[in-house]
Amino acid sequence: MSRKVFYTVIAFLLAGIFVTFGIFLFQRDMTAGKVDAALIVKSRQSGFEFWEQLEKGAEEGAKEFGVDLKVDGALSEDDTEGQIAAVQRAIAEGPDVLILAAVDQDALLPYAKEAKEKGIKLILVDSGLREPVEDCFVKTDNYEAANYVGDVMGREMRAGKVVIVSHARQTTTAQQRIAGFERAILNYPEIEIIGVYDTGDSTRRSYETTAKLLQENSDITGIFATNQISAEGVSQAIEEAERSGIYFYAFDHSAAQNEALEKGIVNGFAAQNAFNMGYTAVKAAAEASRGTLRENVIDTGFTFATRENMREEEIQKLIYPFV
Amino acid sequence: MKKARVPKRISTIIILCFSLFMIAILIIMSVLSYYYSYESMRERTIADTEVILSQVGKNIGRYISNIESISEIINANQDVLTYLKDPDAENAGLTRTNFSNFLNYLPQIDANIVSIFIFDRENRPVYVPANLRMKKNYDITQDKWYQNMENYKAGQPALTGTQVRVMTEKENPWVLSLAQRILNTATGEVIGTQLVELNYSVIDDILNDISLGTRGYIFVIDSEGQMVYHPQLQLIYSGLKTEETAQVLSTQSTTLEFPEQNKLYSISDIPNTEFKMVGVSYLDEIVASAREMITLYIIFTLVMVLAAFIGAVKIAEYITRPLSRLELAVNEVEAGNLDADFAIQGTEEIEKFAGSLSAMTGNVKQLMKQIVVDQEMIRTSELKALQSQINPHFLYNTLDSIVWIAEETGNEKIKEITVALANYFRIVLSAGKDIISVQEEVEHVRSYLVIQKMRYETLDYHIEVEEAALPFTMPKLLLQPIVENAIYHGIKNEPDGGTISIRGFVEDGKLIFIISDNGRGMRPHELKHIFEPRRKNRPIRHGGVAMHNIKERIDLYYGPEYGMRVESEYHRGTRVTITLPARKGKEPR
Repeated sequence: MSRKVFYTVIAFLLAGIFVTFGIFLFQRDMTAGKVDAALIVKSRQSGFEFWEQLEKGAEEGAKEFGVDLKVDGALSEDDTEGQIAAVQRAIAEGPDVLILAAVDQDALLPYAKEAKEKGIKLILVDSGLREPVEDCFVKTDNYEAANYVGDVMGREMRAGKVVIVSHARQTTTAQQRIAGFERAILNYPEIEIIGVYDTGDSTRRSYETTAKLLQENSDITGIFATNQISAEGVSQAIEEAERSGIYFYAFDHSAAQNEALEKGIVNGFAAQNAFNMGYTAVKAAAEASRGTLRENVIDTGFTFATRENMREEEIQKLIYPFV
Repeated sequence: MKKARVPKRISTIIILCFSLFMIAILIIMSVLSYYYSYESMRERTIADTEVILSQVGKNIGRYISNIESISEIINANQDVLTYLKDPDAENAGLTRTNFSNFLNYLPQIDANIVSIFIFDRENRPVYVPANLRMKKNYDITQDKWYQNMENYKAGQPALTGTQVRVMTEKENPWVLSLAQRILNTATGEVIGTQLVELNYSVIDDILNDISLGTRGYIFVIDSEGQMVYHPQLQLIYSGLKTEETAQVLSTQSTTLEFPEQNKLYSISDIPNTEFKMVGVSYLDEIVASAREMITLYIIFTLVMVLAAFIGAVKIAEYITRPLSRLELAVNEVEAGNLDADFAIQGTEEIEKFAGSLSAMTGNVKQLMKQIVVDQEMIRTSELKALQSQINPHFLYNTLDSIVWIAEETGNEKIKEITVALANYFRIVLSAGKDIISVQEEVEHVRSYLVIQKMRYETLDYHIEVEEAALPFTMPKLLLQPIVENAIYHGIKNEPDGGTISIRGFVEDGKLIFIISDNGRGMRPHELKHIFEPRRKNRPIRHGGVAMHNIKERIDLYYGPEYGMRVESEYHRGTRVTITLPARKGKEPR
């Protein structure tokens, strides 16, 4: 056997050993590879169950998909500066993925772009940005959901004057919910939307605004509140005003809103699946980082809860958060 | 039909066999290891899960039987019974305060209890934990726990899976509950209902920390397939995840496999309950660890193959290297070198074989020497016999007479040729000597040429031998046959005749003769065969002492470093160079 053949065979065998060893290491790596992700929420104020649930879902997803998750964000939804600072802190740490719920679709855009330029994958959750820079957007189809709520309200109410009590209007969620609701009401010409009130990210402001509106306008028979914080203020105001016959429809569930639903203060609300949103966003983050992400929009859906269906187990499972 | 080529080299055969063998082993090992490691990992996973499940089941069962005994304590509480028998009794308020204090105190002793509720026979709340407020006019009969309890015999504890407690204000947690009718011990009549809620976090603590593999988990379902506990209950509730609860309820076996969901269920009952506990392992984890194991096997096998390959090559070399050296030695012998080296290191067989070959060549060498000696003896004796047959004196006398007659008749030519003939014979016979002086040899050739010149008038010759060369000795009759060849094959048939020139001189201790002619010369293929011995069946041509014989004689006398060289060109002539040692004396060596 010539030397050449001898060494060629040995080289092949050694190569085989190295390759299989590489495969071995790769196999180990597959199970060990962690993804660093930063989740920047809109609001971390306590009692904002939507975001609490979303964080819980995100943590559940982080556990399942091997993600090291850091959660940060401003204290309230109208603190754009605070959220920008949180995003900058996150970018400075250089995570693999940034999961962002933008409080302002314009103000956050340059920072989102900066993250993208640094090779950080961007997952948007709940609220979007002006330009489509994200790898994936996990959200409720807010326009569709609000449209549904508006339609239910139109059918129930038939005629009357309606006000919209909204949360911070620089976010896409507020904009789309208002737009979807308004579109639905167009089908009911007897119903008139007499005003849209931005109450920021404050139950108190929402309560005060609603209380004043109810006091000053005895002809208001319908209210649409665009999120949990604004809806809770409205519920409180209606209960205290002791005004019956007000059609109140809203977005989001919470312990307070569930009771309001039970008491008949709120006629129905679109319950978003915040837990799912957080979970799905982290799942998308892990997939984006590992290059297996397929969709760029994921709709986590909503459920319309009314006093009638709230005893059903399927609805209970959604509106009573599992702690 | 042509047969497939079978390799013939030992090393190739050995290495090929080894390689095929090793590849077969590699494949078999891989298949077996895959099969066995997958199977064994699966078995181990199931066994591990079963151990964990039975431990966990015991813990949960113990926890629930604790709660049941608390429930019994409440049921046996005299104050509770007294109050419920007659809520409108005079001192009912006092009894109520008494058992309220007792019940408020209970959760403080046992952290496993979340909250206790007691209802009277009209299902109105009698006792509600101090930190909770019942909703006004709440109808408990629509609650799941109540409906579940009604399926049990009065007085039997009914455990109900996870549900939302809706009856209290603000606080609406998901709970497990143990409900039971309170009976009048004397009459067996139902006088109320008690509800004990279990601390969910206890089960969560027991189950959530359990990991099966890296991602596996445990879930618990009730007898209706409702999820009691799941580490991702929220995901189950929101429909992102599902479990095959229906199959768990219907199966009798303790394991279920769902390859398309990549899950392996291990099912066991929780003691003291109608709950089933399911340990979920991920099949791909089993596959992954099996795969890791297989990769390790393959690495191990490859290392073994590498070692075996090197071993095979080394063994093959150990066997075949002495064989090829043996082959070389035999080739040398074949080429004529009987002194070839047979001292070969190798296996015992080969060393023995080489020894035998060595002995054999030694014999051959001996025999060849013997043959040379014998041949020489035969030739010498033949020559002696020939010489003895001729009576030289009679021949010389006769030749003398011819010379005398020639002189008398004045025929110079006859005289000349006769003198030459006499000289010629004197040296041919030369009293039986084999070695003669150069001078004598030259004289002999000259005589021969004189005679031949008479016959072929076109023949011309020059003899030019150094004075210094004359005293040396040489085997006799070396030159004459060459000259004869030159005449018969070179010049005889040339119409213009030719010239033969003989030169002799001493150079570097060597005696050199050059016999050249300008005759016909030889074609290259003729030249090539010049030294071949004449074949027996071919008639010996006239003048034929073959060149072969001369060469052989020189060889015999002086060894291979001396000899003759023939150069020839067709139509130009032939030149023969004879090199001999310049020696004096009789003996050749």
